[in-house]
Amino acid sequence: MSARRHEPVEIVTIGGGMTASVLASQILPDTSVRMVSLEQGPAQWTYPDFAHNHDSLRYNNRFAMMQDLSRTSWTWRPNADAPTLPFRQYGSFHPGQGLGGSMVHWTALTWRFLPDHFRFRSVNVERYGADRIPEEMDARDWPVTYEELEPYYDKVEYDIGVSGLAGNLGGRIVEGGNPFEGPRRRPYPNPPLAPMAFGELFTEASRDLGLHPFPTPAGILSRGWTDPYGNTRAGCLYCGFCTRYGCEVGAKASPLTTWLPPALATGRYEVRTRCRALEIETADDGRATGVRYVDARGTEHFQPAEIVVCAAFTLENVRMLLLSRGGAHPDGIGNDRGMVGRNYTYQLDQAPAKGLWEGRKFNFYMGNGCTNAQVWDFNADNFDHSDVDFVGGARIQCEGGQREPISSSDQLLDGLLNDGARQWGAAWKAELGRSWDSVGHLEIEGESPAYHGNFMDLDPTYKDEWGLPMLRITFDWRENERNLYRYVAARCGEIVQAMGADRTDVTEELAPYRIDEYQSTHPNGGAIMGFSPGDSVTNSYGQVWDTPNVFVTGAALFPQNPGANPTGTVGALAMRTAEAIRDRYLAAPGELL
Amino acid sequence: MTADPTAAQPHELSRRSLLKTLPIVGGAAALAACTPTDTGRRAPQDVSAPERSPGLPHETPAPGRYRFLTEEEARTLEAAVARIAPGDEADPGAVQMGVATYIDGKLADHEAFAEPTYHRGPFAEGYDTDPGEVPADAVPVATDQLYRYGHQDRLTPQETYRRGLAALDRYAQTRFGTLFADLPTDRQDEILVVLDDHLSRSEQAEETSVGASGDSGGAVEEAGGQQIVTPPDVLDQAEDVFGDVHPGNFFATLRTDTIEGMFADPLYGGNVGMAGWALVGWPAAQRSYSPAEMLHGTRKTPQPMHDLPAMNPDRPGGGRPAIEQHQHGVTRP
Ligand code: SF4
Repeated sequence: MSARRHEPVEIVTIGGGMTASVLASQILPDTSVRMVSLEQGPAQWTYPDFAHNHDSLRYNNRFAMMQDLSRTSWTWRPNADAPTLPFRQYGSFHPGQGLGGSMVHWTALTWRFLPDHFRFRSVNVERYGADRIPEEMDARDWPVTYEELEPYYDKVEYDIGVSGLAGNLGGRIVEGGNPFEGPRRRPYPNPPLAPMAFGELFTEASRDLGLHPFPTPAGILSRGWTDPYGNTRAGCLYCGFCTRYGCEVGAKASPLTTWLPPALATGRYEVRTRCRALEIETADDGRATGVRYVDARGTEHFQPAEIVVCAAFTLENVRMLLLSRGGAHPDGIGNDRGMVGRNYTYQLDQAPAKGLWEGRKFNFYMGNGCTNAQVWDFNADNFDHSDVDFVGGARIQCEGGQREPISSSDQLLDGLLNDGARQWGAAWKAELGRSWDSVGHLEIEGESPAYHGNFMDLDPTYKDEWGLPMLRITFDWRENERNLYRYVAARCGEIVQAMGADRTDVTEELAPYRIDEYQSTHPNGGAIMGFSPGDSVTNSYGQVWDTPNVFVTGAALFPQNPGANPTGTVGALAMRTAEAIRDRYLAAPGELL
Repeated sequence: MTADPTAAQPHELSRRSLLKTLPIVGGAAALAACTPTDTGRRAPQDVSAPERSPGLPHETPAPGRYRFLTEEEARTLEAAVARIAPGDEADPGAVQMGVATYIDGKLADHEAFAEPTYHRGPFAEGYDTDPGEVPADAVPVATDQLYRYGHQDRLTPQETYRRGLAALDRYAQTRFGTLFADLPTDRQDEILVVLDDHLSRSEQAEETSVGASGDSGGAVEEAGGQQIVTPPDVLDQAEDVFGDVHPGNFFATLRTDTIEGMFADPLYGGNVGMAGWALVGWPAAQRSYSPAEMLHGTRKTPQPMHDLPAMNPDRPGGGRPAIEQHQHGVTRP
C-alpha cells in the first residue's frame, strides 16, 4: 500500500486527548523531542467552538461532542453464549472525539483512588480470608501503590486547579472533607464549588445519620486561577450546560485549557485532526516502527516514530493493540500471552433512590455535575464487610445540577405518580409542570471487579467504515454487584427518607446490564498493568511487555475499577509515564523497571 | 429569531481583539464568515461549531408547513402527540407547542438519523422459542432479551414514521373501525395504552416476565416499570397489525420526540412561544448563575438560544490567549 510517509518523530500517539497532551506538555519543553498526535475528531477551541453551545438538543441529546457512531462503534453481548449486536446509538457510555478528547465534555469529578484500592486483593484476603473473593472474580493488586502515585496526583490537581476540601492532610483528618481519602501533601489548590440547595439538604440529612458528607472535588475552577504553565482561567459561571458540552470560559479543565498551550508552544508538537489510526506497524524484530492512518479524504499516511503510544479512549486502545498483527505479533501487540482484552470492567453507576418534595424548588438546572455533596462511608472497605455478602463498595452522591428538560423528563416521574398514572397524558404533564424542579435523585458509583467472563476481543462480524473489525465487549453484572447494589440502595433509601421527601421511589434490585441506558463513560481494563508478563499487558508505566517501545495510557491499564471516576488516576499515571519516558527511556530505550 | 448563527450579536463579537489566527475549519459558511474587516481585524466567526454534527436545522420550520409528512400523516401525528401531552390555549400542550412541526423538521433534515447511529447489518430479529425461526441474514435474539441491546431497528426514522403512522391508523381501524385522528380521545388513549404496555412487556426480561400481565392487581413493578393492564392476546394482535414496526418502540419514539419538541429551542420548530420552558419553569440557556441563585432561585426568564450573546474571549487578567483559540500545530491533512 502506498501510504504517504512522514518525517520520523520520536513519539507518535494514537489519540489527541488528555493523556497525549499530558505527555506532550511534560516531555517536550525540556527536550528536543518531536511528537505527533493523530486525532479522529475536529479541532476545537474554547473560542469560537464553545462560545454558543447552550443547545441541549444538539449537545446533550444528539451527542455532538461524541464519536461518530455512523462510522464506527462497538459490539456487545452479555456473555459468551449470547448473541452479539452493535451499539447502534449512544447509551451506556459516551467517548468523545475532537481535540482534547473526552476530557473536554467530562463532568470533572476528580478523585484519587484510595490506598486500599491499589491493594484490592490483599486487603480483602487479609481482612476477610481468601474465600471471600468469588471464584469467578479476578481480584488484583495494582503494581503501583497510592504512596508512589501521590506526587503525581498532586501534580494533576495543581495543573488543572481542582476545587475541593481536603479530608486528610498528611494523616490529619480535616473536618468537612472526605475522611476516608489517603493522606495528601497539601490542600486542593482551590476551595470547593458553590453548593446547591439539594446538596445542602443531603449534607444535613446524611450527617444526622452519622455519615461523613463532603463537597465533590471538581476539575472546575471555583475562582479565577493561573496555572503553573501561565494559563489564566476564569472561575465557573454555574451555567448549567456542563457535561457533554465544552466550557465556554475554560473554567472546566481540559487539555485545551491546560496542557495543549505549553505543548504547542514548543513548536515540536503537531496534532493532526480528522485522522484515524489503522494499525501500529512493527519490524521483523517485533518493535513498533510507527502508525499507519487515514485522513479525512481517505488518503493513507505512515508516521514513523521511535515510540508509539496508545493514548485514545480505553476501547480504541485495546482495539489498536488487537488490530496490529505484524509478523512477530500474530495475535496483536501485547497479546503474546492472550492478555489483551481481559479484565474489562465498568462501573456500577445507578440512581437507586429518588424523592419528590412537593412545592420545593431546588434549581437543579443551574450548576454542574460537581455542585453536589457525597459520602464515601460505603465505598471500598471503608465499612466492615464481615457480615455482608460482597466485596467492595460504592460512593453515594446526591444529584448535582445541569438538569435540562429534554433528557430529564423521560424518566423523572417514574415511580412517583399516583394511582398508577402513565408517564404521558394529562396527569403526567401536569405533574411534570409542578414538579420538574422538585424531584431529586441519589446516585451511586460502585466498584466493578474483573471477571474471567467479562472481556473484549475483535468482533467476527461487524466492521467499521474502513473495513476493520469493531471491538466486541462481553460483559454483564454478576452476583457481587447485585449484592453490593442491594446493600447500597438500601442506604440510599434511608438517606432519602431522612431528607424528608414527600414521595420516594427506591429501586431495590440491580437490573441486568443494558447498553441503551447511560451509566458512565468509564469502561476500563483490557490492557492492564501488572507485575510480570504472564499476568498483564504492561508494566506499571503502561509499557507493553512484549513490545517495549509501545506504551498504553488511560483507564485500559486499570486491573479493576474502584467506585470513583477514573480521570484523576488516568492523569497521575500519565504524569508518571511521561516522567519515565523523559528522564529514563529516551536516554536508554528499553524496559523501564 | 434567526436561523443564521453567524448573524448573532455582531457588535458583541467585533469587540474581540485577541483573535490573531484563522481557525482551520470546514464548511463554506464558516470560511465565508472569516473575512477580514476594514480595521484589519477578523469578522465574527461562526460560533456554531460547524465541524460538529449534527448541526443546526437547515431552515427554521414553519408551523403547519410540512416538509416530510403528508397532510394525512401530520393529522395522525398531531392526534397522537395531543394525547401524550394534552393541552389547550390556556395550558399549551404538544399541539399548541408545535411538536408535529418539530418532528417533521427532524425527519426532513435528517434523511437517516438525527443522532450518530451505526446502521450497518446484520440486524437483529427476535424469536420466542426457536432461533431457527429467524431469517438467515439476521441475528437471532430471544425476544425478552432484545431490549437490553437498545436501538436495533432496521428502519430509519423516516421509514418508522411513514409506516408507524399508517400502522396506527390500521390498528385504529381494526379496533374501532375508524382512523386514529377521528376517534374520541378516550379511544385514542386506549390505543396508546396498548402500545405503551407493549413497550413495557418488551422490557421485562425473565424474572418479571409476562406472567404479571393481564392481572392489573398483581403486576410487578420493576426498575421503574409500570403496570401492564393489556391482556397478552391484545398485545400480540397489535404486533400483528403493526407488521415491521415494533408497536412499543414506535410509542417510545413518539413520546421521546414529543418531549424534544416541547423543550428544544424554538429554532427547531417546536416549543412555540417557549411554552415548554414555561411549563416546567426552566429559564433555558443562560450565561451564568450566582451562588446565591443556586441556593435561592432566580428571576431570570427564558430567551431563545440565539438571543444569548456568544461568549467572547475578552476577559480581564492578561494570561495567555493560548487557552482559548486556535494554536499553530493543530493541522488537518
Ligand atoms: S457549569 Fe461552569 S465549568 Fe461547567 S460549562 Fe458552565 S461555566 Fe463551565
